[in-house]
Amino acid sequence: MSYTGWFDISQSDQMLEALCSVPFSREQVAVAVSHSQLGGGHIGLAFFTAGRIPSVLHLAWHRDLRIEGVPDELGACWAACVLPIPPKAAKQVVAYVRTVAARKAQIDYGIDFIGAMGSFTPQGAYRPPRGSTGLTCASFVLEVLRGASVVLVREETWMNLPANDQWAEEVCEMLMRTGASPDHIVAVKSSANGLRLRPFEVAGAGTLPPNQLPAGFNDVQVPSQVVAANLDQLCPRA
Amino acid sequence: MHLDRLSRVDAYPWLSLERVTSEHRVVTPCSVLAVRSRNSDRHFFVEPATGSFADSTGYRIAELCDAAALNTKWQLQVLDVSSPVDVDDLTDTVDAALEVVSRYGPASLDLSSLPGEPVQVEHLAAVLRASSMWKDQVPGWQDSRDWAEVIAAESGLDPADVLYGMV
Repeated sequence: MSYTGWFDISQSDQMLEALCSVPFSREQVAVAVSHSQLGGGHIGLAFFTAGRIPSVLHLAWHRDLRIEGVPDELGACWAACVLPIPPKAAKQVVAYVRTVAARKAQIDYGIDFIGAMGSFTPQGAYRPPRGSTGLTCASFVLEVLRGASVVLVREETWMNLPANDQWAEEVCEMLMRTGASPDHIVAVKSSANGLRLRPFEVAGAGTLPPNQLPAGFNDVQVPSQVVAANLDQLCPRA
Repeated sequence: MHLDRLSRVDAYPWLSLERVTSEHRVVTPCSVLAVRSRNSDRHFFVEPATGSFADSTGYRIAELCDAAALNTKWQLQVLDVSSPVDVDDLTDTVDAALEVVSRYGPASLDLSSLPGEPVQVEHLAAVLRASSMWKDQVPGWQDSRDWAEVIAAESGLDPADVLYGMV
């Protein structure tokens, strides 16, 4: 399978809406994105809590899983797109996401998203598979949705890009700066395999109709660029 | 454990005890249920009691009572065809089901008695969805999924919606 390259987005479809406008109902889950320090975006799942508060569940960083109310607690500018799940199933997914959020798992930040498949296991709300070093914000969203039988991407189609190695180094440097244990940093470095699951790619998959899921690497590249462009429009960088 | 009555009630066939004696008392408050002794065909009520338990037999009784109580919580929603299907109600069902799995493992989430029973299919689908990652370990998962597909169609619901991702 060959990488098809970047496309010129001269006029983007509007796939996202401003999260502060709460473009989802109590019976829906939305994929929410914001800008990030490392590029590639940041991603979470937006939903209404049982207390009727629109919120975003996201893995902000190493052992920093947050559920933050829209808009006051989030702080940064976010945009969102409702997941195109059929309505009865969507209610069940909301119920599942709420339950996962309530368990407040402590999740390590790790970049090997293939090794992290199946991270939500019976023994606890979150238990990484043997050899997994943790999740990113993107693979966290992927795994939560997988637990609810919503599979967005086909990981086996993902492609190694040169920029991914630089990203992996930057993640390790940031883990070191923010006080992650040396053992964890060594493990993350060892798990670097040239693959990266970008938040915009997961969000792009979330804009595809159900009959196109799970999506392959090439399938999400155009949608991911549209998501990034939409985010820039809705949340201009300073 | 004090056994006050010897009467049969609706059995939970997956419950069994190797040994029941009067020295063991149940710690966890336990709704009345029937247990079948492996050593005989006698069935007993387990009455709520307090106190300490002396050995693994007593501990297992407490565990089984707790798992049974947790299972009852989501089963009541699933087995009541008139259960409301607001997202809050589905959340309670999913939470109860995942609590069983979290505490006692997927094999304790017993769906085996559901196929053939009248069920509220959205609640059943919510339990199936929440436990789908361990479907090979949950008793009755596949048969219950098939039953949910039948009930959804009979109820005028689209199985591809209710069971999205599981069909």
